[in-house]
Amino acid sequence: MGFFLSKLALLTIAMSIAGLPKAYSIELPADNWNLNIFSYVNSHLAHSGGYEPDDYIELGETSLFVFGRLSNRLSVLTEVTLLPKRYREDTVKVERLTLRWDLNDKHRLTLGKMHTPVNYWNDSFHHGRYFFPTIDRPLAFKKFVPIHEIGVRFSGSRLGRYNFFYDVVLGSGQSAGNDPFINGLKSTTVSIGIRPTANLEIRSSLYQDEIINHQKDLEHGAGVQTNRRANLDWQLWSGSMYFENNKIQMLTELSASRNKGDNLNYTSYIFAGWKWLPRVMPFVFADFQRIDPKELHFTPGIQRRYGIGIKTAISNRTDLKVDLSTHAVQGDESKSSYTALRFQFSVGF
Amino acid sequence: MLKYSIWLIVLLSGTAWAEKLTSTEPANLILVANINDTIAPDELDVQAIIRGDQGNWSNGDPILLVLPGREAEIYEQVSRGAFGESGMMMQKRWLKLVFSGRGNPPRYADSEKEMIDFVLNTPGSAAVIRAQHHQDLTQLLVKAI
Repeated sequence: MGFFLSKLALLTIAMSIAGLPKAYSIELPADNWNLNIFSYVNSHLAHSGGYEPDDYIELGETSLFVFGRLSNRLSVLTEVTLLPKRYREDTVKVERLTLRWDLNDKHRLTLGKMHTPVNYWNDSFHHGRYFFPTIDRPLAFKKFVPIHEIGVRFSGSRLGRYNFFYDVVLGSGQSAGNDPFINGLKSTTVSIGIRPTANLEIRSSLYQDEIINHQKDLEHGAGVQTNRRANLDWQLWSGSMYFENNKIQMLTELSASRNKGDNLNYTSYIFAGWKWLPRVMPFVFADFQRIDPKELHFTPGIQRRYGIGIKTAISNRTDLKVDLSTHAVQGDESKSSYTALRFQFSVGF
Repeated sequence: MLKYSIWLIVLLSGTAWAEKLTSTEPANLILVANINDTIAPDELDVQAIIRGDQGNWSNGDPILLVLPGREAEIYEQVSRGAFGESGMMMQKRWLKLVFSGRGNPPRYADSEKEMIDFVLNTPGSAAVIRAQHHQDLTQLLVKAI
């Protein structure tokens, strides 16, 4: 199924390129098709501390994004990422492939592989480093934020005085990978929020899933052993607040998860940037994650990452982010940390 | 390392002075829309349309928004007047909106005349232009911003 998805997405992109060359540029989109390309390079030049990873310069994934309007109410969206073999086993990955039907001016129905609307970051930035406020995603994304989901999504927005919005996703679950509903309907996402002003968005979501045979799951890292074939129910709550005006940009992402037992994991990510000049934004960020020692699935431990940085628009299509940050990891029996000067050059057009 | 970081940040901030803006003189702006349905101007949520929060007209058809491109003489005037930010940020905002899957890709025009022609000839389209053209566009729905 994954191979089929890759071919289908690439075919959609090829069609848009072959038939609609004007779609190459954001300023000259074709009538019904739009192609965007995003890419980035990361580097890590200096470090100090107990744990010292090697310096590196690495190519990031290139994201090909296509939006096509099939009729007045029907549209297709694909996002495919490319990365050389030396960086990732799958050189081509389908990150999103959806068919959207606009029921009216406020409600929509979406089918396919999508990003779960559990928080602002995952529902807005996707794989576009060009839009990321910081070099990395929040720490929670490396653990329990379910980035993708294959399923059906009902959405609504601009409801009522405070611009209430909602998303309900009935999905295949994380264990299904790229095989739609191979284990039946396994996950449910309910996300609600308001946009009381043009500058502010607040949302809260609940996600629940069942991890099939969780001890065989790639993410499994807990030392606690249970029945070898045990499936694991788990729930995730997330809360987001995003504010942006012509002076500042702020994002807060909170999440808490639990599964069977009395464990509770939580994370918090806070970012604040000041639009000092039209092209320059200094920023600070802090990210904290705690995985409960009684956790049955994810590796227990505490991680902290914090730093200062600056984001500069080198041109209308390129950004450079630089940060000086510290990353500390504390496990059951080990502790390490390092401070690094990091760079991310990103492009989007 | 801290010393190098500070130097780098100072160096990067220098790129800001390279900013070259087109005309930023404030202008009275209007939204013009080519819609057949009997929608009264008062019923239009202009901010929702130009910020992409509203992607469809009330009958469900997509809103085909045309924005000034970098070559357009009103590039900065529209972005500052309607969005309160630079033209570059306006384009980035829309790029992000389309990438998120919530917005319909806007069309970018190289001049205000091209924007007006597009709206006159394209049912379902809308644009933000200067109010001085108001009298010539009686067949369009017009609302001040």
